[in-house]
Amino acid sequence: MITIAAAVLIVLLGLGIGRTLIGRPALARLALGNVARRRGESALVIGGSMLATALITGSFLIGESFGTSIRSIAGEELGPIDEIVRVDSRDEADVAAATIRSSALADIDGLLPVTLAEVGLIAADGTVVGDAAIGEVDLAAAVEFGGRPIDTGLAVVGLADGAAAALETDAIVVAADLADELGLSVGDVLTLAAGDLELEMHVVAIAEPSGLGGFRDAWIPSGALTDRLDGADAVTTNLVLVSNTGGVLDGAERTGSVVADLESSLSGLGVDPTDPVVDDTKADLLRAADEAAAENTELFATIGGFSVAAGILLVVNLFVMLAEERTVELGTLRAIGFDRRRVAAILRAEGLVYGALAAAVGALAGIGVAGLVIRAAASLFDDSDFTVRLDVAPGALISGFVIGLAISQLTVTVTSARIVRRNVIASLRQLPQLQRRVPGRAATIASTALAVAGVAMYVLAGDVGSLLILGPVLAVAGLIPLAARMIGRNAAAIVLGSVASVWPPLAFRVHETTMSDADVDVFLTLGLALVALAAIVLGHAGPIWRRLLGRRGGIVSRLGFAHPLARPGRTAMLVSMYALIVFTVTFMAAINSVFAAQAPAFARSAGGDWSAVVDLNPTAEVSRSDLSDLTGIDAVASTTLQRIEIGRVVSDDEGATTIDGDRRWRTTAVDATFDDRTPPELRSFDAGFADADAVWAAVMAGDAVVAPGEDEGGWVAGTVLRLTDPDLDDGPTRDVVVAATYRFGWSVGSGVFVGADLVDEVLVGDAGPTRFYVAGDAEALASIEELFASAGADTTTFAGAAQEEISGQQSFIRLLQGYLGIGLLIGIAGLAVVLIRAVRERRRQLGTMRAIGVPSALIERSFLVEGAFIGIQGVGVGIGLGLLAAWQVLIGTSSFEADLTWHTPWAAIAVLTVVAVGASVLAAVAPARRAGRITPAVALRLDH
Amino acid sequence: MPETTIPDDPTLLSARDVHKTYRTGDVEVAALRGIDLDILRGSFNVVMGPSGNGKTTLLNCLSGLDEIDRGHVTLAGHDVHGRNDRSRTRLRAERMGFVFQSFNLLPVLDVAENAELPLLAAGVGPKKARVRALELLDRVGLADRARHRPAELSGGEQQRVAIARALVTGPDVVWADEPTGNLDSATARQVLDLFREVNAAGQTIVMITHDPSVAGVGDRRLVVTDGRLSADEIVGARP
Repeated sequence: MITIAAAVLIVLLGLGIGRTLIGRPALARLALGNVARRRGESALVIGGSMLATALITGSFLIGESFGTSIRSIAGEELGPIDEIVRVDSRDEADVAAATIRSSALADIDGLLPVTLAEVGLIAADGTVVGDAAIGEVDLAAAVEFGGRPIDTGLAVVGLADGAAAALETDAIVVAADLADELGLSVGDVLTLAAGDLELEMHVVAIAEPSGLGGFRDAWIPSGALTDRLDGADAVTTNLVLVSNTGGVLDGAERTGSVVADLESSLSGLGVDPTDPVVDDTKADLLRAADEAAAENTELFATIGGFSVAAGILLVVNLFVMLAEERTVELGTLRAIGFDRRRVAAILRAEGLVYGALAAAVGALAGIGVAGLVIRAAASLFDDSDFTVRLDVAPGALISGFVIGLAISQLTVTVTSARIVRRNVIASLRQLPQLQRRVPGRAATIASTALAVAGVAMYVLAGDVGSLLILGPVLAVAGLIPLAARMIGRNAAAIVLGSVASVWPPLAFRVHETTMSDADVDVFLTLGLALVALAAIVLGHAGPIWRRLLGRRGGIVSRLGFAHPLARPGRTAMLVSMYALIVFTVTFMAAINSVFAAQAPAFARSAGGDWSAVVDLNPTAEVSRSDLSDLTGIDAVASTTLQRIEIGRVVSDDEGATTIDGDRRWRTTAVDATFDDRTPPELRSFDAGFADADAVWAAVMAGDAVVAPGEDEGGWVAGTVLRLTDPDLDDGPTRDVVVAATYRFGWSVGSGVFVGADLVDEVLVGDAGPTRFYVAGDAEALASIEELFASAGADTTTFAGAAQEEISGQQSFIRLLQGYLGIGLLIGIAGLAVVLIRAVRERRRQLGTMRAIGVPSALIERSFLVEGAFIGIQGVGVGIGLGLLAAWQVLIGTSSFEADLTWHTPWAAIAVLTVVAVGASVLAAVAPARRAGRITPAVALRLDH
Repeated sequence: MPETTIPDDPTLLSARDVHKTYRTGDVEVAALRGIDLDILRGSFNVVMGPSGNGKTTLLNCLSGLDEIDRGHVTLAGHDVHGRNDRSRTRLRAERMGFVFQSFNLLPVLDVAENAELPLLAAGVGPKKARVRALELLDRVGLADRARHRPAELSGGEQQRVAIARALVTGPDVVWADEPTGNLDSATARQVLDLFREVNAAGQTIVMITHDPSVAGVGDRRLVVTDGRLSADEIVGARP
């Protein structure tokens, strides 16, 4: 949509240029001649202008890459599986498959009943995988599932060509990833452990890591485990895998009708008496992929918005300088009778050439930007099965090109319209543009109207966070021209600019509820508003700076300060370029710093005085005493994990109740043993419960639950919830109150804490697998996984989970910071380009200085001071506002988290300052050398 | 060759066999073709000639703003061209002042800062430089405009600031290249009067002009034609 709008804009703007230049070759040459004549200068303009496009394209490519990578999971982990029918037993799976076959449903080309379990697998050398996910299946049917053996991952030696049909029950097909982990190859023997049962299995094939080979770690023939395992139905899951006609991805397009047909076909089939549940697994995954693509595109585009804004400022700067160099040329055209429209068209034509070349180069550079981010992102997923790969989608390149070109053309159009308004004589004689002492009437009326619009924006904003921030800012800033007529331009800008800048962070306090759901666009608005206001203040603080700096120091500092102070508009833009990026990086560094300090509190909130949870595979038989008898283990609580359907009970005025937002929730069933240690730290309490002891007592008694807070997707304390069996349409229900909430409920997957008796009451079937809460020393905790390896023991310490969660968050923030670091390059490159062009612009002044005896070394140093002065202002504004905004958002309100303590990210600030200021000085080195090498006679000869 | 200053020597500047040729691609233009010239201390020299005949090139080469291809120029015993760029820049800072047709004041500095710039370049302290600059601005009648920017002054006022800047270091010679070229006749007359006044105080001046009416302001008239000195005549009594 944005791309189409941008394309339309380009066409509209291009029409104006074409109307002026077509059929007038002399004008066209005038417009385009400069591009070819000054190739070095043109390269600078193109190089500076392409950076915004590179970031826009990069954000599109990053989004596409995440989407494509997630979509590739469809092939790797599902292959021909499009839908999954969940049933309660192996018998029911066979009946369901037969029923579907007899219904002769269209669009289905494969049905495969499977039984899934978690078991321990032990290689001959003793290597153990305790929680291997295996499946029992008719292997011959599995190879042919969906009609394309290649998609199943099972078309391999040992299974293909009918070999699967002849396999014994001790055969096992191991997926490639597990084979690598256990060092297995065809012919090896391994032990399958499930409870007390140990089976010797022979590896007959290594499956490809895709399709069914990606769906489970290993496959064994039907009945190989379940026929020998007592109570197998309690510890296994039974499914019918369904394949649609078509390929791996396009088959999912038929999911809608297939799911409806399946549900219709299977209706009433349930034997106990639950109907089979049909999941649209692949379509769901592909939807998630599309959502991830859109979310990542938006995230990187919005965060990249700071850099793009800096890029736009650079384009404005470049074209203003370019046009200023052409003042005599433009003045001459005006003098000999060209109207403003045609002169502007000539400038815009030149800008179109630069813009098109810059957009093309930028789109290609965007591939590099995305490549860097994807490479960094890939390292974040090293520990998971997810692999993110760069996808250079042509559509993303085209979108980046079109949007980049539209931005540059819009910028050039506005800039040109402003420049051609210059007085003809002033242009011809290259007289400096003196600023009016007070704004004109038209400007005053327009900006006052903007102020009124700002008030209206605030009033009508509703819960749109960006408008709530922007409205008052415009309302105050729009009054600057009006106030300038009374108290002077500088005083008005400084006073009202400062007053307006108080609002954006304050908005988070005033509109705390709205801002607690603030999206990244609100953050972008916050940053842009603050930096823009800082630029307004700085741009009018010249007299103050001059008073502070003007008389101090020698010739170097005076010249270094004089130019930025004499061009406040340009300086404000350069400073803003830096400040925009530094603001965001500082804000994120503050978030990282504050959250990094929360690890101990995080662990306490998630686990109280318990040290860890130990999960076992469901087939394992490990008792509470097996763990509590271990040396170093102080206490063990036995809980179970299961999913219960939970919804909020809403009562109307007449006492009728409805259930809101009911869905399956992960719950932890606790008994009195859970109280042996202080349970998870509670956050907010329902008024009916005096303290934590009262809360946990009510939970154990089955009268209340403890749930994650609303900000973590849960509820507020005091909410009444209805609990039901998710597999029953008309099962028992219980209404209970949320006695208190706790934080980080998902870090170890505990979810809602429910009394064990209450779970027995609500769930008709068995409770879920056992999970032990353990308190003990680190050595003992570490030994559990080894001691109970064949039971798939998986120990997660709360401290480790806290660290992992924080590390993951920090890594992602660092990734975004790195992405913004590319934006910092815009500031640096922009400063370098502007200073190089400044050498050309100031050549007569430089020649004069050299003539009257100013040494070239002093001129060079004055350029370095100028670069540093701009860099320091940008870094100062960015860091100052970044810390202020972060403090207000993180600490001053509960928009992020309650009870956070402030930690200033000193190290990040120091690095940022050194890098940004150092880079700005480095950016000035080349222009400084060029300025120092100016020959006075040559520079002054240009005067004649 | 060791450099020595000979204060009693009446010749301030000596140029011998100075040649300068500009090359652009295959095109060569001989701008100066063997200039021999002595400038006396305290003299007011007016260099005239048609446009494009080498007047400004002569000024650039004699002052060391531009390189020469052949020849030798000394100022108060100092070889102007036989030194590196840094040393020549220092020589200009300490011993020369410049006034240009377009004034060439730095727009980002105020009047006082412009006037004191050569002193700062020569390493004089800021306070001392400011006092001296204000003295000179007072002398040219612009002390009350010290805090103004050049763009806020008239052309004549800007040129007077440029003259103050040229005189602020107490130079041996002031080079003025068409200093009245951008001024109306009344303002030009005021500027010329100022030049005459400082010359009367002993300041050596070399002024380039193509305006015959200005020629009479000096005491010596030099004419450059096709890169050679075609006339050299005394037009007034030495001060």
